[in-house]
Amino acid sequence: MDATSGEAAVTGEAIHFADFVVGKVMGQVETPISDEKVKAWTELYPWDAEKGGEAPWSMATALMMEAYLKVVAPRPPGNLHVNQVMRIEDTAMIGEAVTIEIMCLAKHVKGVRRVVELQATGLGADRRRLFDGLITLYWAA
Amino acid sequence: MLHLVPTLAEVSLSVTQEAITRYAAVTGDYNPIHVDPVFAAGTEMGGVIAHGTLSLNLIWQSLEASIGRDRLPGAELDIRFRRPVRVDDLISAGGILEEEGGAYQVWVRNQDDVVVIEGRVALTAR
Repeated sequence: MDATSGEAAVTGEAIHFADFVVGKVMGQVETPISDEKVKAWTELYPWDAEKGGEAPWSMATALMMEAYLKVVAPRPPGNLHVNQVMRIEDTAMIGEAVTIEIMCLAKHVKGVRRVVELQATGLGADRRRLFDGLITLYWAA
Repeated sequence: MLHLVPTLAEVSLSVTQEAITRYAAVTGDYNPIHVDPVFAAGTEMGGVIAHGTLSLNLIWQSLEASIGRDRLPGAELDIRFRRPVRVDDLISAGGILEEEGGAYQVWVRNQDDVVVIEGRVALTAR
C-alpha cells in the first residue's frame, strides 16, 4: 500500500468515488522526454542509463504516475495505491513527446473499501504503443 | 520456449530522503507524506514513506539487467504493494523463474528481508 494523493490541503473540490464514470477518458498528458528528465532519472538510478538514445525502459511507470497525478486531481487525502499492472511494449526516444491517456476502467465497493481502477495508455509521438498500466487504488472519499 | 536465467540479478537502492525528493521531482509527486517529515510524522504512517513506484522501478531494472532490453517488449508486471518503504531503508529487487518458465516471481525486500512489493512478470516469447 502506497499513499498516492495529497494528504495536505486539497485545492478545489476533490474527486469523489461517485464522480468516477466507468469507461470515461478522464484526460491525457503530453510529456516530453527531455535530456533533463533522463539525467534526473540516471542520477537516482545510475545503473539505468539511456542506451542508443532510448529513455530507460523503467521510466514507464513514473511517466504513468506523473500523468495520473495531473489528470486525476484534486484528490482526497488518504488514497492508497495497492496494485499495479504494467505491460511495456516499447520505450520513448530522448526528445520524444509521450502522450498518456487516463481512463476509468472500473470501480466497485469491496467491504469498506472504495476500489477504483484506472487504465493508463502511453503512446509515442508516432502513436506507437509504449505501455499499458492498470492502477488500482483504494479511494478515500 | 524462452531460455531465461533462473534468478534475476539483484538491484538495490538506498532510499534516502534525497532519493525520495529526486523521485518527487521526476514524477511531480510532492505529496507531503513523501517529502515533509513534520507533516508525515502526524499521519497514520508515522513518518515519511517513499513513493511505491520508486521501489517498483527496481523490478524492471533487475529484469533488464538479467534478460536484456530486447526481451522487455510485451513483458507484463502484476504486483501488489505490501509494506511502506521508509527513509534510509535499503531495498533490493529480484526474482526467480517459475517452474513452467516464461515468467518470474518478483519482489522488493527491505534490509530486514521484509517483502515490500511482490508479484509476477510474464514474458512474451518472440
